[in-house]
Amino acid sequence: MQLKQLKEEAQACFTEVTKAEQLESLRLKYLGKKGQLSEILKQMGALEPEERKKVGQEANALKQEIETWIEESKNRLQEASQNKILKERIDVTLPGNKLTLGALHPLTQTAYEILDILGDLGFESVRGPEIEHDFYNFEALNIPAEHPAREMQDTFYMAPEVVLRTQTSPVQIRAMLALQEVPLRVACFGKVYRHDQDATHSPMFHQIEVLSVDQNVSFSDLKGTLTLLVKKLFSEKARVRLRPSFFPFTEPSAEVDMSCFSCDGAGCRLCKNTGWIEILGCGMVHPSVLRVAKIDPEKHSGFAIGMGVERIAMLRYAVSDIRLFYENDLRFLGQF
Amino acid sequence: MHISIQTLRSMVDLPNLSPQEIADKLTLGGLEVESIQSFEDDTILELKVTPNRPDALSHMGIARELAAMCHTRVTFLAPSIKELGASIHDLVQLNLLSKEACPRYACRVIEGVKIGPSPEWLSKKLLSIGIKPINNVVDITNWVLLERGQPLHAFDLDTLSKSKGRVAIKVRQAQPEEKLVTLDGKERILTPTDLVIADEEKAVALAGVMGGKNTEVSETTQNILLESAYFEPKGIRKTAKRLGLSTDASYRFERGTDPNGVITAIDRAAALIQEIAGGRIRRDALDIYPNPIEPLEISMRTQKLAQISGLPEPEPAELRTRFLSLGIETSGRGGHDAIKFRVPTFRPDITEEIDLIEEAMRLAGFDQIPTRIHFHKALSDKNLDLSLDKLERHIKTFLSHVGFFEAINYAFGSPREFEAFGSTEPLTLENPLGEEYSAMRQSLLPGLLNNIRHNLRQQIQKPCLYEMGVVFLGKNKAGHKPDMSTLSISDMGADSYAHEKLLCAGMAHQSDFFALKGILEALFASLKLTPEFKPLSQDLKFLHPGKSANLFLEDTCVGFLGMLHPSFGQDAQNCVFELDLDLLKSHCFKTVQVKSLPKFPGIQRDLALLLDESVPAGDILNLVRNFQALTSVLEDVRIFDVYQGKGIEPGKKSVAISIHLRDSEKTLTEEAIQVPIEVLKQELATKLGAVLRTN
Repeated sequence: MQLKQLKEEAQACFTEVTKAEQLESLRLKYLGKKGQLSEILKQMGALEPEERKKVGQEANALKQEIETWIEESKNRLQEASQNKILKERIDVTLPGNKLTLGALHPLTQTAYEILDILGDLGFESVRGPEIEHDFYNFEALNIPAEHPAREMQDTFYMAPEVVLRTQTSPVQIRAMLALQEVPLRVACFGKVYRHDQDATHSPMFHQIEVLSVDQNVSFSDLKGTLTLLVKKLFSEKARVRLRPSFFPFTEPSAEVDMSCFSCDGAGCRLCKNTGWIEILGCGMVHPSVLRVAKIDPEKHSGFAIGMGVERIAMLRYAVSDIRLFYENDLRFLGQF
Repeated sequence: MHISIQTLRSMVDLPNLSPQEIADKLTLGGLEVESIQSFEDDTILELKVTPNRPDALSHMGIARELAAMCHTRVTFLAPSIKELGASIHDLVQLNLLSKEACPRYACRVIEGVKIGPSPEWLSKKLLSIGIKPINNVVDITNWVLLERGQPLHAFDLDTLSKSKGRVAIKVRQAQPEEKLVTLDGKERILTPTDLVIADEEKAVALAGVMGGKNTEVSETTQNILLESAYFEPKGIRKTAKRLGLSTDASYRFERGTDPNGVITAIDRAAALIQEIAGGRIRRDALDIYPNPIEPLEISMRTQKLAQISGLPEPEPAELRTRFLSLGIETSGRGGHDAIKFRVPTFRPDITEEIDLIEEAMRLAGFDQIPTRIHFHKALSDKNLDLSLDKLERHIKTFLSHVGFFEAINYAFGSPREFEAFGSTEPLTLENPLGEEYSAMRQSLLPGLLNNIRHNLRQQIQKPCLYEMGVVFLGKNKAGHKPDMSTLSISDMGADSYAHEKLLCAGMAHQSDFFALKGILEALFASLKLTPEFKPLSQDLKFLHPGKSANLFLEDTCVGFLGMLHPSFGQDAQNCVFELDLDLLKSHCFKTVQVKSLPKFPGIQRDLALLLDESVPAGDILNLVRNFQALTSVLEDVRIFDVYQGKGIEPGKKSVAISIHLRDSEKTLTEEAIQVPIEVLKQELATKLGAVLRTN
């Protein structure tokens, strides 16, 4: 009688159950140690053996039935939750929450990349003043007054012997004088100024100067350093060509061309059909420059590299007008 | 400079080389060919010749170079001339008054010439390389210049003044204010630094630059005085630069012509004039050369060549042969392991061993030099201060990640625009590109403001930009004579003319003060720093006085933050900041010392305070931080709400703070803090007039 009632009640409960948490409490309610079925079994001691056996069997059957219901409910609930998840949908093509990003200037990005490559080669970063003495900017670099080489660099003057530096090369002299010991490996990134303005010339631009002074530094080391720099900066496939040139503070001096990355040397508009693109100047430090900097050219030699950061950035990012770098238009800066 | 391939081929045997191949040889030898163009049946190369190579400013020079690149040699025959009649000495007297400016002066006289157009071959030669033919005599002097690099000048002999039947030519410095109308028809006012050729009465040519109109060869000219000289480069350069007058002649003289090529050139021209314009060459040339310039003798060590170049040591015999093709002869042994060379005077660029090493490397070809790379370890024991670079990169990266774009502006600009940002007496350029680029910046803000305006014109919403760069704050007291003995790497530039300071400044359009303050606080937190923002104490007139702050690290003011002054009108919607990186640097990158993690639970106490709206919230925080009875257990105190409005009487504000307390030794009990908190409340009341709100 009691069992029958229990069975009906339990059956109803399990049919109605909607949450997994309820299921566990129902299991405890009926099958737990203090559950209702246990209670009934506890009372069986008072029954006749015949009766006891019968009730025992019925109770066991009920226990099995409840276990089945639990299992069924579990499955039903799982299925329901599965179906619910399957119906849940967000539009993943909608935009994410807006996070505004800025950017480093493309010239900075280019310079940092170059400085990092040089840093891996042991070149450490130095700085020097942008307003320079004639002495550091010209005289010490083997460019005396009235030298035709001064014409290569139209100069802004602050005072008769004071200029806006036309190149980062004066930092070579400063670094050599300041350290007064070798080996010396430094790189300098900074602004330089020339009295010139059009689509390919800016009155202010940026250079990176590289200087290595040591025993037995040779032109081979210069070529090796340049080749590595160009390959890392542009492409593994890039080739480097050095042409004799003239800078007063290096001897021998060279202009450096890299194979055109657009046509791979076959000739195209970018390289004016030559297959080569001029990217920088370099050379072995002139003995008289070493002497000015109190380094004995009989004991030590060095190489120097000077590169225009704008030139390299224009090539890398296909920028055709140098003025874009200083307009600071976010439609331009936002692309980097 | 333009070079005719036909003329080159007549000087050096190059049967198998195409114009392109010739151009490539020259380019890789250091004479860069910029373009190759056809002219009738000829091909013309346009060369960019570096200023150290005056010898390459002629067809003969290029032919010699090309021959050397092709392992062959050129020989130029001396011109042969037929002299007739009386000696030039009977007619012309030469007086060299300025031997330093003019180490050599020579002339010849040709009488009875017939001026007329040049023959076709000569006109064509000149036209092909971009020179307009004038008349046969002038064309010949021009051609000899382009052939051998020696500028020549022809005077109409009959226009030169004579006394006692003789022409007296003087080479002298100009008198002050002396006037000369040059061939281009312009009157030039001269100074004593200019060198002139003169007769008894007047200047007749601006030496080495341009002839005088008064003695110009014309259609009626019959007799010619031909000049060939070597002028000192510096003087010619000075004059040409001062007058803004660059001619084919001055271009070569100021780079250095061959003092020993003067006579062959004048003879070559005289012979051509005789051949083309007729006339008789008077016997003898006048040639004043008081101190002949001898070829330099320079020793080169093959071992040094190997060391500098990275090439194997060359065979001396091979080296001698190759040098000979450049006209550099061997003159003996130069001591152990060295060869002595005699450098011809047409190569003024070769003055020491390293110059010969360069020639050897050029001849070998830079492409033949092996490549070597060393990976060096950082020179960490050197006292290189890299913290500024690190700080620069850190700040740039941070700002870029929080929505700021990096700008780069010119370091010079308009003094008027600078004035708006408090610039006083900026350093100025002597030769600016224009008034609007004449002053050196003292602040980065004027540039940024221009950038913001530019972007707004492009309809860009709320542009945010920053710049990191040097500003120039007046002259240094230290003076500007470089003192090389005291320079150290840490103060590279300490001897510089101007006081240069590295700043970082930012400008955000329509930004709230607190938005930018939050960014700066986060920036400083990323540097493990906590700046204190105090009401503006610097006199910065471009900032809103009530909406600006100075940033302090300990007692150092490292920058400012604030809204632009309302007087900026529309632009006052910009919030700006500036940081001094040199000052900031010394506070950064200290290694963190870890605190052990808390073992015991803490207690949080929130207090809502009602106080006068004029009391800065910072004062509340400072009071709590400095409250003695709690310092040992105070972990943090922060403001989590500020409220004014409904329920708060006007002139008052409600500030809610939360105080976080923890004892590192034991569990903190409510009882232990009860008394101190009560005392704190009283202090807040007495010192700041704060009333506790109990809702």
